[in-house]
Amino acid sequence: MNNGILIKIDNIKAYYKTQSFETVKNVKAVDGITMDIRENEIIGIAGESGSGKSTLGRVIYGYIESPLFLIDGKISYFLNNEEVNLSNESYELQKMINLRWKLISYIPQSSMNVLNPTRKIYKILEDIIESHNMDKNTYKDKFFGSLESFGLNPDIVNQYSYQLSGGMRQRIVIALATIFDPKVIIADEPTSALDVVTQWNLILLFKKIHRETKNSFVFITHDMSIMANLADRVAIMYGGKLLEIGMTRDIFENPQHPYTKFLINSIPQIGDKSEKSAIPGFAPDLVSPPPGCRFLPRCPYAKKICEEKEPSYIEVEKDHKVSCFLLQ
Amino acid sequence: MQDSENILELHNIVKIFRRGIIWGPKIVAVNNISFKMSKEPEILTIAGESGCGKTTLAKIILHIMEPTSGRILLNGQDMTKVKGKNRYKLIRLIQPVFQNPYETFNPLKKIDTYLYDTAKLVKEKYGEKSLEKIIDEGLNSVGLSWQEVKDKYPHEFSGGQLQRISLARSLILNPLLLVADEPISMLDVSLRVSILNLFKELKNNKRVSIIYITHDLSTAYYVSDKIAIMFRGSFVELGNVEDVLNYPLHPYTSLLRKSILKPVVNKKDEINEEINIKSTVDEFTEFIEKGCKFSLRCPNVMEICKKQDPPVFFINNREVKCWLYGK
Repeated sequence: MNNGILIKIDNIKAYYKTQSFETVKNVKAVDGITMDIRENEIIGIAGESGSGKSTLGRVIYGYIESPLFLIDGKISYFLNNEEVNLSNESYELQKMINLRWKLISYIPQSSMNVLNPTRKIYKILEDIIESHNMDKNTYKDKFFGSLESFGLNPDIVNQYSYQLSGGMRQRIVIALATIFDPKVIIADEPTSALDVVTQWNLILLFKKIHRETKNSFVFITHDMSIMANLADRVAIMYGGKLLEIGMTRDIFENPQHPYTKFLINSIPQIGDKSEKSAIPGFAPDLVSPPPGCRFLPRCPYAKKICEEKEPSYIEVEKDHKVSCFLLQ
Repeated sequence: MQDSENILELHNIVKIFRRGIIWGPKIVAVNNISFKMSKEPEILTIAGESGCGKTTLAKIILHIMEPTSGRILLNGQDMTKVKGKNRYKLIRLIQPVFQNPYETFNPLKKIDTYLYDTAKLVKEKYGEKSLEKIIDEGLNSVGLSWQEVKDKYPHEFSGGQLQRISLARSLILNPLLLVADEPISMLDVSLRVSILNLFKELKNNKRVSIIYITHDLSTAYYVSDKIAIMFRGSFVELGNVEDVLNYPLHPYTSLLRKSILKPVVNKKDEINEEINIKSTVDEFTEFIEKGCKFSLRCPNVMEICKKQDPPVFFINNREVKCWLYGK
């Protein structure tokens, strides 16, 4: 319908506003990001803590509520026949709310803890089906089916969430998020609190869901190893900006931005005892970020122009864009 | 203080927790662990998943927690017998580095106070040297200086810097051994390697041994000389890090090894090939399992595994706790 694009994010700026007495501070968590989410793809958003990747996840989900404010830009959803826009000119919030769960769903950070501990799992399930006016029996059966395929015994719906282990809760949340077959699923650090074995199982599970339903995943994580194994495309975020975006293979085999290079080269691996070097300095303060390129204070190749202007995006190869003056 | 062959020896350490008020079932959080660390500085990794007892073991080594049974020899002296002032002096030889650098320091206190308090403890040893000088030396070995740290509150530093200050504080006491419990898991990816490199440096230049506790086998491989894989309270495998991780013997080590994702894009999509999602076994069920605690998940499980807990077998400088290697 729209060249296979499901969500279009156009120069989005979303800031957190904090106010104490007379001083207003803007935390520029997402500062001018343009990207799109395509059909049938797994896109990974990578970045360190404080890079704004979780905020970008919220923005993609259209969950922009105080203290987060949309400053500029536009998000367009092409999930069903009708286009839904979120921007300062036309903020179609009600239409967006109708899309949630059915066409776009969100697995929040620390999703192991989102289940209400005072309600049994099947009560939570019923609440979700009812509040979206869907047919109870079909979706209950579907939920049990997906639990089984996730390696869980459907009997656990009679338990409370605190009686289950972290991995089990995580899988229940994933089963709930995918219950209405949404076209886009946003998962924010879904594996970070889990053991490596459970994490491995979850990655397989995400691949399986993706292959069977052909929906799109937005996967937010700081772990580059997960990116390499799961994502089709990777976006590298730093200080509220997108530094590099491209196909996973291109990013890992031909990284262009100095930050991406550092990030990939600094990961220790089993079987490799060679000395790794760390990135000097630390992440920028998003209240008053440095002018020009955000990575400038830590960049070993910094030039004069990097201080003066923000670099624009250059397409180095198909679908591979980099924002750095070194390539200009 | 007389010197001995080993700076730390653990003999059959057991720690039992009870669940419930009086008659609850027992959980053996640390099950009969013995190991030695020699005088020659080395980095030993204790690796395992959450709930394997690695933090409990760390607390026992640091003498924050008393073991239910077993002996700890610190610098050749039996810690069950040493009492009073001597005990404090000995305990000072082992220093902790905590997981979350943001919580290590009180946000309302200046960083100086921690460093001053620590330096006062060793003042007599240095004689004429001023406290600032002692602190500065500690900070220098982690790549910071007194000028940078003076008169500042914890929030003025980044996580990586705080972790360095935490390390420097430990180093002021001239410890023989650092116990670092997940020291990098709260840090940003870009800062992790610098702390790991610092560990290597401290081992080589300051001759400090380090026990590095982690769940991340890739960083363990990078930094350590020896590794112990811990599972439900016991060491299932102990040996040189290259041997253990490249050629794992215990089925649990193989499972862990297989689960680690490499930051390399696979040529063919091999991750798709094996999709068998087994439901994980509840932690508690495994803890109270009578035989080998891994037998519920083990692919090579035998009859004997379900009945009897395997002893430790020695194979080429390695310790493996698995019936597969029994005679």
